[in-house]
Amino acid sequence: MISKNLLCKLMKEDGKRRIWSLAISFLVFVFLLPIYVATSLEQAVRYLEDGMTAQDKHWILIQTATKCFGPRNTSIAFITILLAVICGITGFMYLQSKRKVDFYHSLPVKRKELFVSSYVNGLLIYVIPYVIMLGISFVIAAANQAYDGSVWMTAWKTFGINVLGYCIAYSVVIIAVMLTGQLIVSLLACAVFFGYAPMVVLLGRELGSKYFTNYYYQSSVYDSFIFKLSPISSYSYLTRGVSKDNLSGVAVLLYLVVAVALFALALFLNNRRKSDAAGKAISYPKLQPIIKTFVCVPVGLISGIIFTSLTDTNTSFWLIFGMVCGYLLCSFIMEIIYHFDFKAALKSKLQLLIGAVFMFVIFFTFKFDLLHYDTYIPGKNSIETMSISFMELENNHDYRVYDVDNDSFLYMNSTEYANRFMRIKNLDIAYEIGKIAASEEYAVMEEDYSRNKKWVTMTVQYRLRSGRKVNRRYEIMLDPIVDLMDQLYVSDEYKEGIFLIYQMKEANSISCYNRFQNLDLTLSAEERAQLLALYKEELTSLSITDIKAAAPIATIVFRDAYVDREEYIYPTFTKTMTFLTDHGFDFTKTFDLEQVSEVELEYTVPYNLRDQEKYQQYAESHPEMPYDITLNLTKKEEIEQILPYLVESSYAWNNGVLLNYDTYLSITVTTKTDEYGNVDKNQYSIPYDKIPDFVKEAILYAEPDEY
Amino acid sequence: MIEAIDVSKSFDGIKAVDQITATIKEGNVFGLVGTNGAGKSTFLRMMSGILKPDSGQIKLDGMEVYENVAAKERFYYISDEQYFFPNATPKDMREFYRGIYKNFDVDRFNKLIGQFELDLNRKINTFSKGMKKQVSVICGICANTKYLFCDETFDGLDPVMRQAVKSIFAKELAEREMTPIIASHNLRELEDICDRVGLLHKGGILLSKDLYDMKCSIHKVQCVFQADDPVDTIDQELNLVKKEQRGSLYTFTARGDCEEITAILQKRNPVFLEILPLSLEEIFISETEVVGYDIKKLIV
Repeated sequence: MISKNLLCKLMKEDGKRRIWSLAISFLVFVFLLPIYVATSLEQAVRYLEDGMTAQDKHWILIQTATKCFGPRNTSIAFITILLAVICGITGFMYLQSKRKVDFYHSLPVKRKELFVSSYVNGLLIYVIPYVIMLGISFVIAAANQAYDGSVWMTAWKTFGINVLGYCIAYSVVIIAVMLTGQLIVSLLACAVFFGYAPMVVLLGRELGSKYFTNYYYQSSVYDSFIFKLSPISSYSYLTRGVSKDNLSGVAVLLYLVVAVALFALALFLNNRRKSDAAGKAISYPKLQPIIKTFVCVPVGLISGIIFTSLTDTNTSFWLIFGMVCGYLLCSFIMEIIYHFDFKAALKSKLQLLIGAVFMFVIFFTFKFDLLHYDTYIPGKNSIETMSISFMELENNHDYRVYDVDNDSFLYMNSTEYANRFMRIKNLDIAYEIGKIAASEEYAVMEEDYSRNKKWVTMTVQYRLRSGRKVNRRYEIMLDPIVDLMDQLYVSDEYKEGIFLIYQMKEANSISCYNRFQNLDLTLSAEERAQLLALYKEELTSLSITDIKAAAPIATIVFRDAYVDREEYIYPTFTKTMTFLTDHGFDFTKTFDLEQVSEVELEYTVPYNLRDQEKYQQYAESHPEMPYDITLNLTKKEEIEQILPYLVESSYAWNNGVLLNYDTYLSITVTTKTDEYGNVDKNQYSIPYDKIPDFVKEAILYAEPDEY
Repeated sequence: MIEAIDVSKSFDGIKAVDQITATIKEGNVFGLVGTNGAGKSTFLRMMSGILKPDSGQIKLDGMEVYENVAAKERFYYISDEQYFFPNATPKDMREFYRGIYKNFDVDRFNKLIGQFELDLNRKINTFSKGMKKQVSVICGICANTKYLFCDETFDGLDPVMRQAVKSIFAKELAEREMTPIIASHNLRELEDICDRVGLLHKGGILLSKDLYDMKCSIHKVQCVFQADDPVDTIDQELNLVKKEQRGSLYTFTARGDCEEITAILQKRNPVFLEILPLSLEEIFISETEVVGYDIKKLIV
């Protein structure tokens, strides 16, 4: 038990010596709180307009104050970490000086008492200025009518989380000081503690993406855990939690336990630390080889990756060369630091060898997929749900989801959206697709990229009953899975994870358009609900066969309070079309031949055909555009052979993998818009089998099966 | 009483203190002497509870010292490079120690600072090395502890100050039986103050004796023998520590009673015989030479 009297005395004396840290702390908090609050509120007041209601003005001021006091004042987070480092280092640096150690450890005071007094002072250096400046800032906010219970609550919540984050970072810095005996080494140790865990996760990702064919990264519970081993990541998680107001009490409690555990560990190390460790690089010599291995192995692997990037090659030679260089250099530097002697660089050869073996084991595990990452799929019985997304299918969606809780938009890609919203419980089809993909039998080969073969990029997520998620991304030929895809496509479980319209509960307004008209529908709430329901119903029934059969004939736009959702109307959506026709949309409108003044066809010769004689000859005669063959059609009889088959090029691209549109051929249709000669130009595509022969001849068209 | 029982301490595999067993009684001035690297500072740092022995025990009045506040309250340690807080004045240090040592004598501190003509309010980091030593000695004296551990404390003090400090030690010894333990490589500094000396060499203790006994148990004699005297046989008769010959003049350093040594030599009817005073330094050199420490290599 520490006597209060002695603790106060020690703290008083320690405080005297750390007065400059306190001064820095006061200075930064003056800027971070009262000055920031005052300037922000002054700016906010300038934006207040006369026409605003008192309630609106108050709301703006409160929002401004909340921003200043809350976690969005990110400067406080930065200063929290900085002060944790300053206080941790300055408070315990005495352990790194023989003179100071002799002085402190000869006093009739227990080491833990010295530790506690210094620890508490370090905490107070952060807390006291923070609290005082909070108080002053509250007064400033109140004077500007920018203060209420919510501001008060936000400020104290943020304060609590910042203090917790500070305690964690501060204890980690102290542990770094305890484990080392020199200031520079302590700072390096801090950098390792702060950055090691994220570095390992990023390294794992980099190696995975480099060597696993079917690698797909999605943050897992394990990654998230490793990431949070860094005090900065943990602190960032806590502040984000407060910012989004979704930080659970359990999480806070857990972090409190972590903070206490780190304090206990620091105290334990303090008590066990030998006084003669002062001046040495590492105070616990037995840890030296472990630390060295744990630092040098990832450094070696990172160095290998950097070497391959620098040399812009993907050869194993440069990677291994980089690994060996990085590993050796890191080992030598660490030995020099350990012994403060250049001649010691080659010490501990056995350790050097063991570390190198460890590094190469990791490298070969990735390089030769020793753990069978690429071919692994979980057992069907262990899977709870799955999601599958195809990059080349329905990729026209803007996956922007409004997050009501946080009053912000979440931006994601189709895979992230599918992983979030697709829950396939009827696993038969999805699992079969996954199995085919994992077998690697139909994997896309290097030569397939240059040929006119159809393949898809498919991302699968298996959610296991254990809570683990297994993610894989495959590139697989279309033919072996197209029938299974068709079956999957008609399931509502799949569609709900692809089409955002299923998220929309009600539409505030609806419009419909195509190239020939644009109609804002005037509908009652019931009619809007009816149309939305009709559309969802018909979309659910849409099959890949329907998509292949006919292109969409219009686009419908549903709007709610936050987002616009644009979806295609296919000819099979008869109920939707009837509803829209009844409300004034004319689906029969098409090109008016009289208005089309020109159709330009531009054929880009595929790369692997360019050495053919006919293309070589064309290239010689057209050096300005050697491989872009253009044909302009102005005669009506020629134009009318093309027009009926044209679809918007964006659609051809969006579902191109399923459709027979030649993306090497782009068609521009020029239509007259008025009598003054103004024209409109739009891009279209045409199916292979609908290209007229005279066009094929003129543009030296090669049939898809030729390449 | 301080007891060191079979105490050893190594740094990076090198033995700094090797199985030392010694007893330091209270009320004496104990000198801890030895060559550079003999382990004096390490031994003193272990006695101060700064270092924990790898093996063995150090007890102060029957209590283990390491991490024992009760034991630590009984001594004050003055290191060879005493630490003072940055920008601290003697007054600041006084206030600090006053909070740490229950019996810290503030009046005595002020008085001694005055006597040593030091400025109570001047920053210690502006003091000379000797002045800093004076401050540390004053702090140590005024802490009013039973034991005072001094590591090379007289190094850097001018002769006047050295005498002043010695006289303070003597007074403290007389008034309250303070027991200073002084580690030094400078034997002359200890000669006139120590009652008992512990001689450390290469981490081990060579001897621990009363200075008086030590001086009485080893003697230096100069002789000139008769021409036909078989001088070589003296080696068997005397417990010789050292023998030197310059021409016909022999110098013996031998262990034993002074009268016995004289009687043995007198039997040979020497032309000349004289007992020479042996300084503590000579005793130290002789003792270290016996165990193989070649002092001559260090003396150019």
